[in-house]
Amino acid sequence: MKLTFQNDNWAEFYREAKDLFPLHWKELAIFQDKYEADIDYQRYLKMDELGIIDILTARVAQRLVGYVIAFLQVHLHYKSAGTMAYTDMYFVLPEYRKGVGLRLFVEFEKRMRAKGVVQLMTSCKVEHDRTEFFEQLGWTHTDNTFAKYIGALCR
Amino acid sequence: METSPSQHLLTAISEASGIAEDDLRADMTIEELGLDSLDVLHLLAVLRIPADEIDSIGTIADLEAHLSKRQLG
Repeated sequence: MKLTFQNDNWAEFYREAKDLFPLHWKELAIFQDKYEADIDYQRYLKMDELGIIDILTARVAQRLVGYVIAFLQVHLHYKSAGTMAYTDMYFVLPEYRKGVGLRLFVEFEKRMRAKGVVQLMTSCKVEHDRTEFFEQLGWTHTDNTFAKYIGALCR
Repeated sequence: METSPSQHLLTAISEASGIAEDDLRADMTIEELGLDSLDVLHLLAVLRIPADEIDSIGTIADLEAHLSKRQLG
């Protein structure tokens, strides 16, 4: 299995990834009984044009099998610290979860370093705990995230 | 007698993968071992190979080369 990595632009990425999104959403999206996946293609496109999004893809025999998308920005609280990367989403097709995720994140970090990014931030779902994976890669567990759907209460 | 790097490697891979040492081949890829990412990370930790060197490791032979290189170094 020859695995290759590349950075894609949003339009290229979306053409292929839209077939993976339903799998991704079904496995990982929260509040699936409240709202459906509805990618804001134009806003992603705009962010890509502004250079504040990084799309790293993994392919086997030219087939998209995984990706990490990250937003690159200077933190409002730490303006002088440098650019930080916040993963927006990451996914590997289940049938390729034999080390592809590891290689993908190692590649992601190398490319972020090359871009001068000083800090990486990510998260994982409670139901799909990746704490040990990230800690083994040298990441520090710093936060827990909470969500509450209040849409039904809005007026 | 001190365990040789090769034997240490085979034992570690066998324990991680559940594949008998006799059935391991140098040209077997990491994927063929059936390990997920966390398993691979554990294996690298046991072998004391930094995780970020995974991009230069495709097969058991590559793992052995890393161990040999470290021993020479």
